[in-house]
Formats: sequence, C-alpha cells, structure tokens
Amino acid sequence: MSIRSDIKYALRLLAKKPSFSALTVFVMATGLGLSVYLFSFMNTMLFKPLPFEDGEHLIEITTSTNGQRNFGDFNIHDFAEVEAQLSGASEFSAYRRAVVNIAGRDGARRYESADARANLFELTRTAPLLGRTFTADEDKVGAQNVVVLGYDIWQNHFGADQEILSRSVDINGQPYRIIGVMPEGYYYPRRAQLWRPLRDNPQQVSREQNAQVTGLALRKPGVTIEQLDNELTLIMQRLEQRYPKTNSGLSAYALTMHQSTADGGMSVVYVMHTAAILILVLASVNVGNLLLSRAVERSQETAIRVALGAPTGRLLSQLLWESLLICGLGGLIGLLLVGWGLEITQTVTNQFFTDRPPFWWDFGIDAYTLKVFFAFLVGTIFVTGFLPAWRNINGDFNAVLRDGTRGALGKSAGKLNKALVIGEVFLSITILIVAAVMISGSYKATYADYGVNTQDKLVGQITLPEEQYQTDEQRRQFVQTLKAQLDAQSGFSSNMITSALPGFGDKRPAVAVAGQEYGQQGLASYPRANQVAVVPGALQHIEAKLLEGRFFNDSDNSEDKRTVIVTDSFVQQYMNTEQPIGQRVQFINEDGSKGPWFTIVGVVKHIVQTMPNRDKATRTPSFYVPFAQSPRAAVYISVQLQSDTQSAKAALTRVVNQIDSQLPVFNIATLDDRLTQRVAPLRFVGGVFVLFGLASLLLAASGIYGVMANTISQRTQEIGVKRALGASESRITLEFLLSGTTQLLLGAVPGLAIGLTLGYAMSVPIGVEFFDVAVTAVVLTGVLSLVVLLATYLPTQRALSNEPAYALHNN
Amino acid sequence: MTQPVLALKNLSKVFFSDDLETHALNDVSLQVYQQEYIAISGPSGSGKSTLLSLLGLLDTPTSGSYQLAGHEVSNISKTERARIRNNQIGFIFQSFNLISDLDVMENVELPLTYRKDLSKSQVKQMAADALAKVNMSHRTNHYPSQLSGGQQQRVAIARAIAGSPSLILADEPTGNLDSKNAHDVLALLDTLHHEGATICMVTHDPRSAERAQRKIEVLDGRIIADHKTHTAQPELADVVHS
Repeated sequence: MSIRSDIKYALRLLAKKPSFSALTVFVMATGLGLSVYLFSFMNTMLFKPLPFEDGEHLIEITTSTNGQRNFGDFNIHDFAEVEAQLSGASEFSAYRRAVVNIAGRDGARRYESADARANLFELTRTAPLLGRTFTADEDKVGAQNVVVLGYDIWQNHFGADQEILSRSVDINGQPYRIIGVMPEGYYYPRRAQLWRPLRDNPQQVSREQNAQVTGLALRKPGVTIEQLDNELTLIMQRLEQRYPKTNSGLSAYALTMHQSTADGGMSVVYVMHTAAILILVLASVNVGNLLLSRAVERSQETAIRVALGAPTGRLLSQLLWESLLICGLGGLIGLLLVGWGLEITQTVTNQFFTDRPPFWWDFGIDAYTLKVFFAFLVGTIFVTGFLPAWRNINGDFNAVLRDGTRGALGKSAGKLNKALVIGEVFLSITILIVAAVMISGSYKATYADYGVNTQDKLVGQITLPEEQYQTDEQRRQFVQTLKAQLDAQSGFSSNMITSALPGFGDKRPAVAVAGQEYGQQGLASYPRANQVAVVPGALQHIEAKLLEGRFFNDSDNSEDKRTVIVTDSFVQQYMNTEQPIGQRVQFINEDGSKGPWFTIVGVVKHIVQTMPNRDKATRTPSFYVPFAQSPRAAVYISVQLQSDTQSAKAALTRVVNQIDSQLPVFNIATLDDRLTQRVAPLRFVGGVFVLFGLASLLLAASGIYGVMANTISQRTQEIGVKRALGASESRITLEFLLSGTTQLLLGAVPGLAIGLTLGYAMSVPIGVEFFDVAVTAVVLTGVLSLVVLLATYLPTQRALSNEPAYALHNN
Repeated sequence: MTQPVLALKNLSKVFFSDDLETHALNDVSLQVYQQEYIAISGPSGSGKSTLLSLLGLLDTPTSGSYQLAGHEVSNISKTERARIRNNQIGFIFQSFNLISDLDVMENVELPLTYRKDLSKSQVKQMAADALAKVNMSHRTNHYPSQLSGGQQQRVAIARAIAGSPSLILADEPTGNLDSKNAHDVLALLDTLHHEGATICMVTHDPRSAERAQRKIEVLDGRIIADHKTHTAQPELADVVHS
C-alpha cells in the first residue's frame, strides 16, 4: 500500500512539472541509449565468443615483423614448430585464404575459399548439413580433389540441389567432388564459402618451398592471450636463431578472430568504451543534479515529514521512486533506440565489405546488451536518485523548519553544485576531444588526397587461377592481351592494369639501394616499400605527377629490362641522393636472398598505397615495376568512364570474357566508391562519434546551464542582499563569472590532460597528427568556456533584472 | 533640521502583474531630517515595506520625486543607486540576511569591500570597530549558522553601520527575535540614533514604534498619520552587557 502511494506521489510530482520530467527522461534515454549501444556494438564486433562450442577459446596465430603486428602468414615448417612447442593451446589447425572462380550457367563467379586442414571443422565442433568434411587422407598431396560447399553456394549456385553430393564442380577450371554442405551461417574462419583440403604439410613440402598458412587453435582454459604471446615470442626467437636468414625479425602472436578484425585499432576500441562510460556519467550527473535541485526545493516538505515521524527507509523510497521512474522510462526509450540503432548498424556494416561482413557481426539486443543495460540502469538510479535522496534526508531539518528558507541546505548544495559543474566540464571536454579526434580521422580518411586522380574511373578485379595460369609467362601473356583489348575499346579513353589500386596495399618487400650500407640483422636491416606492378600507361591513367625521369613505356615490357619508378617519399626516406634517376635498387626476398638490381627511371609524387589514415603518419614509400617484370595473379583493371557506369561494367566484363570466358570480373565499382567503402568503418565510427560529440556537448551545455541557473537561483536572495549593501551589477556579474571561470579551469585542466592522452592514443592508429589534436583541444576548450560563461552570465543577468527589493522580499 | 536628509514628493509605486495593477504607494510625500528616528507602521500590505525599499533605492518609483541629501535620485542609474546604497545607507533586515558562506568578520566587511577608496587594512579596522560597537568581537570567526538570532541581528547591525552611513533603514528588525533580544536591538538603534544616525524603521510593534521620535502610519499606500512620539533614551549599558 505504502509503495503504491509512493509511486502515485512520484507520478503526481512528475506530471506536475512535465517539462522537467521530459527533460530528465530525454537525458537519461540519451545517456543510457548511447552507452549501451556502443558497448553492444563493440561486444558484437570484438568480444562476443564465436557462435561455436568452445568459441571463446578459438584463436588465430599470425606473424609479426620487427615487432609490427602485420597478420603475416607462417611458413608451414615454422607453424609445425609452434604446434609442437606451444603448451598454452591445443587442437591446432591451419588455413590459407583463397579466391576461386566457379563456372556456372551465367558465367563464372568468384567465391572466397578456405584451403584448410581436415580438422578445421572439428575445431568449431560443427557437423556438415549434408555429407561429410575432409578426411586426413584427403589432406595429402596427390589425393582426389574434394570440396565442402557453404550453404549459400548450395542454395544459390546449385539451387539447393538435394543430389548435390553426387555432383562435381569446376573450381578454377579443375573438377572437384562435392563431399558436403555446411550449415547456414557457417563461414569460418572469416568469410569462407567453400573449403578445400590445404594439402601443404611439412612432410610433403620443404621449408624452402615456403608454403604459408595462418594458424588456428583453441586456447587452453585459464591461459590468457598474453601468456600465449610470451610463449610464441620465445618459440620464434629460437627459430630465428636457427634460421637467421629467413626468420630475422620474425615473431608471432595470438589473437581472437575479433581482434584480428579490429586490425590494430584496439586502442580506439578502449577509448570508445571510455567515451561510452563518460557519456553515461555525464547524463547521470545531469539528471542527478536536476533531481538534487528538486530535492533541495523539497527540503521543507521532507523536514515536515521527518518531524511527523516518517522512517528513513520510507523517505528514501519515496524520493527514489521519482528517479526510478525517470531512469526506467528513459532507459526503456534508450533500449528501444539501441535496438533501432543496432538494426541500422547491421545494414551499414554490411556495406563495409564487397562480399559480406565477418559472420559473427550479428548486431541486435542480445543477453550481453541486456546485462549491460540493467547494470547501467541500476548504476544511474543509484547516482541520480539515491545520493540526492540521502543528502536530502540527512539535512538539518530543524534549521529548515525554523527558517523556512532555501538557505538551510544552500552551503552544502552550493559545494555540490560546484563539483557538478567541474565534473561536467571535465567529462565533456574529455569526450569532445576524443570525439573530435575520431571525427577528424574519419574526415581526413574520407577526403584523403591519394596523390592521384581517382575520379570517373571504373575498376574491377580478376584473379588468375593458379591451375590455368601457372607460369609468369601465362600471366604476362594474359595481361598483355587484356591491355591490347582495352586499348582497342572505344568506350574507354584510358585504362590501367595494376596489382594494386591507389589506397590498396600490395607486396611490401624489403629493399636495398645500391651504395648504401645496411645492418647485419638479415631482413630486419632493410627498409620496406610497397611494390606495385603496373602496365605502361597506368601511372598516366591515374594522373600521377612525374617529378623526374619518365613513365614506363612499351620498352619496359621486356622481362629482363629491370626498370622501376619510385615515389618522392622513397627518395626522401631511403636514398641519400638528390639524383635518384639512374640509381639502382634491389629487392630482398623473404628467405633473405637478394634479387636482381632495378634501375630507377622515374620519380613520381607520393601515392597513397594503403589506408590513407595509416599512410598519414608513415608516408609509406612505393615503387612501381612494369607488370611484365613482376607478373601477379591478382589484378585490378581500371578504365576511364566515358559512358554510363552500367554499360561500362558490361563492356569491361565482355572484354575479359573474350579472353577467358571462365574468368569472372568482380568488385566492379568506381574507384571513388571502392575507396569510400574501404574507409567506411572509419566513417561509421566517425559518425557514431559525431553523435557522441553532439550528445556530450548538448548534455554538458544543458547540464552546466542547469547547475549554474540553479546555483544562481538559490543565491537570488544573497544577490539582493549584496545589492542592498551597495554591490553594483557589474561587480556581482564579475563575481559569478570569476566563480564560473574557476570551476571551468578546475574541470578543464584535468579534462584536457585526460582528453589529450586518450586523443593521442587514438590519433596514432587513425592517422591524426598530435598538433591537430592539440588545436582541437584548444578550440573545444574555447567552446566549452563560452558555454560556461554564458551559463553563468545569462542566469546572473536574469537574477539582476529584478530590483533588489524583489529579490529580498520574494525569497 | 533645516535641510531634510530625504524628501519624497508625490511618490507612487504601481506593480503590474497579469493585467493587474497594484498601487503599493499612492502619492506619498514625506520629509525626514538629519538625526531623526522615525517609525513606519501599518498593517500587512499597507505599503510600508515598499516605502522602505524606495527610500533605500532598492526599487524605483513609478512616479514622483525623491531627493536624498538634496539630490534627485528617483531616476538615476543602477550603478549610481548601488554607489549611494553603499556609501550613504545602512540596511537592517527582519531575517538578518547574513551570507551563510561568509563568517562574521567577512559579512561585516562585505559592503566595505565594494568601496574603491578603502585599503584592506582600513576595511578590517572599520569592520572590527563596528563589531566592537555591537559587542560581537568575540564571534568574528563564527558563521551565521553558529549564532543565535539576536547575535545574527547584531552582526547585521554592525554590517549596516560599518561604513558610517548617513541613513539607517531597518525593516522589522525585531520581527524574528524574542523580547530580550528585541529589546537589545532596539537599545542598540537608540544608541546609534543618539550618536547622530538618521533611522527609518518599519515595524508592526507599537512598543518598538514608541521608541522613535516620529511615527508615520501607512494604509493602502498612503500616509494617514505623521506624528511625534515620546522619544526613548538609549541605555547603552543594557546592550553592551547583555
């Protein structure tokens, strides 16, 4: 009965001040919604166990070079050593990503495949939907070609044929017997749509053949990733001593599949979590303050209740119901917004990839989201309700009853108000710096200057199957024919065939410049640069700026010509000369052996050949070699758009299929679209932070204004007294502004320190310079100073707008 | 008493709220001379507090003239009004109106800190003198909440007289006090008057009013009576040793 009447009373109070109620509910919905959303989003992307039995223990083991984690593959012999010695993990498996072409009625289609050991499926404890998976015998060189299909291929490519197990399929022109179909939603390790036996095993392939794989294993219960890393480092150090030529600088590390997706951006992830917590604290402080001011207003009512003998528990409960209702309703709205936001996130993140996002990216309100939501809700109810309620019922009731004025709680409430403003300034400046760094990184990546003209270019990819294009000569021949066909097309004014588009990475071999001394630490002694193979005319197609020498021409197509064009960043960083033309460079193979010398024939302005945000900090140099001298299987085609995109796409496919009808052209899109898609995750996170920044600015501005207005309103009588004693308006205004400035400084200084630290941690992976972070911090401090000063000035002027007599007689 | 300290002529004050006009003061004319001690009395809502607010430049009249020490002050700027309040007027309020965050000494120093012509040491000395006058020197470091009502009002009086104002305005100064403390405060006002202060006191209490030299009765915003009373003599010893 008493609870019901307390709820009724709280509801009546909320209904009495609808704007107050709406504001507090809105603030709580914003705070809870944004923070829970970000926690849920991050969890799904990075921490949620994979949806398999023992999914939380599945790890990937990859290599690093010179301490830089680069998700490198293992030589299978190195991985065999890891398997034998790594005690913290079990059930080792290995795979290699591959892209395959499957012939169909309407032309060939490209699919992502995992060439994996037979035990890959056991690792995930997943049985096939139809048929079986590989046997160990099928994982040997010379065994019959077999393939396990993914559910999507079975459904779409084979029309869910129930007799599928009696069929074969041509993969890269070779027949494979279909032995099984995996269940729907199975894409392990990442986006695999079909699985073939790996067939590279140490017993059959020599170390020198350098077959490369990515390791998989189950982390033993109780063993942390850090412990595995320590063990891996020791194992790899021993291998480095044994094989200094090939393994110098090579190490290994373990990580979850999720972490590998974060791609070295874990610092951003932790900062985002911090920002989410800060937003929630900011919202809680705001609502707590609003409820506290209300509690102070109601101190006389509470005092009367105490005088009438109300027990403390009852008083607490009554005061708590109000915050419970506000947080509950705000939380519910927030949770609905989270659901909506995650639904949008699913749609948006699907566009990050040309194929499909990692299979564990299944955004929605799950058990974790609800757990976080309820934990946050209880926390906010405590902060926003319990503390003001406790303060209120522990006030000096006698003074309140005797005096009947607001002043009785004024002093302590005043101190708390100051602490609230300081806290709000601190929190908001921290969040704003973090948000600004992220937004700046996202903006710079989206509108990056790649050093070339990326407009009006239609690009597509082809992968020459190893089975049909086994030799360099076959690949060279294909590309020369393709180039000739493209040149003959009237619809394309210019074209390019390359191993990597601007913004896309390729090989990064170690490189040596003739006449320069390098250390004796094997591969680690040499600098690395992007090596991009291009056909003559390619650099002109993207309008690369020639600074010295010449572009490639047909004479460079000769296999033994050995010419190279470098970027000016290469000259600046790796060469001690101002006359690079005619100088020679040499590539160092991964086994430490040295390749032939190449002569520099041209220098072009720096071209970004990686993610623009990563290139920002390092300006990774590149060199371009004629395709004929370095043929590749993975090829990009770019044509200048003159007609509409659709007919250009059709023409591009037609040209390729005229040469090889079984060769699919995939990922056809404009270059700008591809580049935009590449930075889409960063843009998305940037977008989230725009929301965070706006919310935090809004929360901080409204919160600081609310606290200041409340403080000044509580001091109206004091203002009246001071004016009666002769204080001028300007004097009182100055007094309040000074007090506001003090609070601003007390909040801004630690806020700047923390914000700059977090901002710096984020700035490195997303390519924002520290100078930009510092300038941003100064600007944001200015904005927040303006907010604080306005939040002080306006209520002060309102208090001063009445004659002193009014202030003295109406408080 | 040839030159009045303050002179009101046809002074009116109208409050406007929600289309409602309230004539708080209506055509009031009044002259108060140096060293006069006047009591303003009347029932609640009669306009006596409004009159005191206008006299103290805490509010502006709607019409009429107000001369303070020979200067017209009815339409001067807010800054000028603040300067006059600070230099020439001392206020004593019913609810003391001490600043709770400031200690006794700081409260008394407060009006003096608004003056640009006083050094820090002068401010301290003047505040200490004022506190000594009301026998509160032993409580300088206490906060208002640590004092009794009577002590708080004595501090408020010290604050009002610290700057040696030519006019002291008291709004129901004994309204929140028991009879013993009320008596002490009135005795203190008597002493101040005896020492040359001009005092205008709003009061309900006929006995308090009787201590003034002149009693003005206000009803419905008009002065309905203005007459001499039996002047009470100050008993300083009563105050100092209370």
